[in-house]
Amino acid sequence: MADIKTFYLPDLGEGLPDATVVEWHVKVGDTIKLDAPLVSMETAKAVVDVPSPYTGKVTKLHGAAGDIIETGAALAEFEPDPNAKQRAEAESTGHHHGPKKSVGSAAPDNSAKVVASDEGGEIAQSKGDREDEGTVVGAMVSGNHVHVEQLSSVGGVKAVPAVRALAKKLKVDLSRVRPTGDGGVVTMKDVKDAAANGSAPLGAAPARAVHEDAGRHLAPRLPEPEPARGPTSLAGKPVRTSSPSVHASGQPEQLKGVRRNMARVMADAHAQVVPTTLVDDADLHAWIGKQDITARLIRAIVTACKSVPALNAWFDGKNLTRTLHPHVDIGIAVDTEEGLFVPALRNADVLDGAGVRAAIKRLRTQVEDRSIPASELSGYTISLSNFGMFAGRYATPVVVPPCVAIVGAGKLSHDVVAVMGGIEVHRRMPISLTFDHRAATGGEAARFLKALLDDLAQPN
Amino acid sequence: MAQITLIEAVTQALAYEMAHDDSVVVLGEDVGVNGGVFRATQGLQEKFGELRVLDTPLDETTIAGVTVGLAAQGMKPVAEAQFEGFIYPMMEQIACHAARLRNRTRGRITVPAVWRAPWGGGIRAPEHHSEANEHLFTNIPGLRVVMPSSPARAYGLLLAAIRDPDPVMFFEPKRIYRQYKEEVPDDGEALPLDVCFVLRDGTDVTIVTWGAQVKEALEAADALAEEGISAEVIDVATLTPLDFDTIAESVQKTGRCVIVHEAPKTAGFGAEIAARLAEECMYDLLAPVERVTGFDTHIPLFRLEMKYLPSTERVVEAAKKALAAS
Repeated sequence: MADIKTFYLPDLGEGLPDATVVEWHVKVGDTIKLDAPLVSMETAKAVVDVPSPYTGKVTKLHGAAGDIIETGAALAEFEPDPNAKQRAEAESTGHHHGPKKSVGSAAPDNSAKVVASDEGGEIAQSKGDREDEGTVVGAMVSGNHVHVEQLSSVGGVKAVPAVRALAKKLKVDLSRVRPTGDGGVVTMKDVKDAAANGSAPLGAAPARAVHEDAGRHLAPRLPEPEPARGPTSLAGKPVRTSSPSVHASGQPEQLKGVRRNMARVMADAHAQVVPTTLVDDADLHAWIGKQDITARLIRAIVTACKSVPALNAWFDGKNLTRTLHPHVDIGIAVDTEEGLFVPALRNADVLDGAGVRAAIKRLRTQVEDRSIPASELSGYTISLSNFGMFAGRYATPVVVPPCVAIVGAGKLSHDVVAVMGGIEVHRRMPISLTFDHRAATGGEAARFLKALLDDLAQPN
Repeated sequence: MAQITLIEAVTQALAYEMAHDDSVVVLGEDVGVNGGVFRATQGLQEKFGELRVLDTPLDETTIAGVTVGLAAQGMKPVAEAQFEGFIYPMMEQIACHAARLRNRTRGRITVPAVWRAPWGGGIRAPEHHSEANEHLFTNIPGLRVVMPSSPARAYGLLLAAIRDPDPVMFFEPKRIYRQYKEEVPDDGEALPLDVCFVLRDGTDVTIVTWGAQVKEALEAADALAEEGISAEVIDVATLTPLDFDTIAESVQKTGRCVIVHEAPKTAGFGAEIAARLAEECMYDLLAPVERVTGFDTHIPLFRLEMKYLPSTERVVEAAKKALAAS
C-alpha cells in the first residue's frame, strides 16, 4: 500500500491566517520533483510560489484556483516515490504549519517548537509534531558535516585563521611566537601571551598595547565633553525633516485575467478600427404584451443582418479582405467583476424566441461560474451590448476586429412623440450602431439600422 | 568540545555573555517565549528572565529606538531583526542615532549595541526575507558591520561585538545556520574584530568574500586546486572598519583578485574593495579585479533564487578569467 503524505499549507508570511490558490502547477496524477513549483498562493502580502515537499505522484489537490486555504489546512497529497531522494522526515518540507485548526487541543509545548531544519535533518532527533507559527517558506539546508578550519603554514608557522587574525590584530609576529600546540601549532594563548609580554612584536612597527579603549575607534575622548543633546530637537520637540506628503487615494493594481485581456483587446481595437456610430430610437409602442427585450433585439439584429449582410462580416485590414457570413453568431457583452466577457450566441438566425432565451441563460450561467470554454468567447460575427439594462441611452461601443459592427441598446424610456394629429407618449429604445467604416459604407449601416428598427417596431 | 551549528553558536555566545555580564539584554520580536524565529534565543528567557529577554511588539522602529536608549544608558542590548529585509525601518534609529551618538557627544555617550539580523538568501523564503544589504550599513560612519561565516567565528565575533563599546551590525548568513557543525569551546573567548581571516593560503589568485559565500569560495578554491591553481581565500568577517592590509598583502602576492558577494553588484561592498585595490595595489595587479555578485535586482523567489546567488562555478570562472588575463 502506497504511503500517502499530506502537505499542509505552511505560513507563507508572519502569521497570515490563510492564502488563496492562484494557480496549480501540477494536476492530480502528475509526478513532481522535490522543490519543483507546486502551487502559486496569494497571501495578503504577495504571491508566493510553494515548492513541492516530496518527489512523487500528486494524488489530491485541496482547492482550485481562487479557493482560500487556511494556514495549517491540507493543501495537497502525495505518494512519495520510494526510489527517489526525499528530504529527511524531521525537516520534512522546511515549512512551518500554523496552529492546527482544532478545538480544545492542548497548548503546544514550546520545547517541541522547531523551525526549519532545527534537527539537522535527522529523523532520530525529531521532536515530534512540527507545530509552529514560523515564517520561512523554504527548507534550510542543514547537515551534520563537521567543519574543521584548515591549519595553514605560511612562513613555516602552523596556525588556524583565527589565530593569524588575532596575531595581526595584536601586532604579533607569528613567526616569533613560541608554539605550544600539538605538532608545533601556534595557539590563541601563545599569541595572547606574546602580545602581553611583548616577546614577538611585528617587525619594526611600534607594538601597540591593547588597552581599555582599543575598541573605541571612532573619536578620541575629550577631557571636557559637551552636554549631551537629547533624543529630540533643541526645542525639545521631534523634528520633521520631510515635507508633508501628497496622499494617494489608492494603489496601482496589476490587471489580471479577464480585465487584463479586456485592456489589450480594447487598445488593439482602438488602434485598428475606424469606428463610426449611428444612433436612433426604436419605437416599441406597438408591442403587444410583455416581451423579452433581449430576444427581440437578437431577432432584430438577425433580420438586419439578412437585409444588409455587409455588417454581419469579418474584415481583414491587413489584406483588405472581407468575409460575409451566411449565419449570425452574436457576441453578447457580459459585464462581471473581473471584467468583460463576450460569449457567442451561436446560430441566432435559426433560434426562436424561446431558444434565444435558453441560450442566453446558459451563456450567463457559464460566464458566472467561469465554466465557459474559451472557444465560446470568440468567433462571433456581430455583437450586442445591452448596456441599457443599467443606464445610458446612446453609446459608441467598441468594434472588436475582425467583426465590423456592434449594436448598443440603451435604456428604455417613455418619450413624447409627435404623431399625425397630436402628441403621444411612446415607449422607445435608444439604439446605437457602431461599425468599422473600412468595411462598410454609411449607407449600408443606415439601411442596417433601419431594418433593425423596423423589426423592433413590430407588435410581436 | 561540542560540535555545534552557526545558529547554536549564536545562542551559546548570547548565553555566555548574559551569564557573565548583567548589562546584556536581548530584545526583539518573538525572542522570548518563542525563542526567536530561527531559535537563536531559545531558552534564554527561561534562563535569564523576562527582564533580560524582552519580547517586543512587531515594530522594528521601536526595537531599534529602545536599543539605542538602553545602550546610551549603560546597558548592552542585543536586538534581533527577524529578517534583514525588515531592517529598513530600523535604519533611521541606527544611522541617525546609534552611529552618531559618540561623535555627537564628543565621546561622552557611546552605544554598545548589537543588531543581529538573519541575512541573505538561499532558503526559499518569501519577499523581504532574503535581503543582502550589508553595503547600506558599511557606508554609515560609526557602525561596525560584522558577518561570521562559521560557527566558531559566529561565537567569537558575537562576543566581541557585544563587548565592543560601539554599535555593531551583526549579520548572520542564515543559509549556513545549520549547514555544518564546528567544534566551538564555550570559553568566552572573543575573536578579534576588524581583521580578515585568511581561510586558505594560495599564490595564484585571491578570493575575497564574507558570510554565506565563504562556502562557495572554499569550494571554488578546491576546484581550482584540482587544476593546479592555488587560490587564497579571505573571509573579510568585519566589513567596516575594513582590514584592507590583509587583502592588499594577499593581492600583492597573487596579483589577482576575485571578490564574491551576494548583494547586488552596483555599489555593493565589493566595489569598495575593488576601488581600494585600484588605488593602492594597481602595480601589483596582473589582471582586472573580478566581481561575482548578485544582480542589480531584488532577490527572486525560490525558482530563480539559486541563479541569483553566486555559485561555485561562477567563482571558478572568474578566477580563470583573472588568470587568463596575464
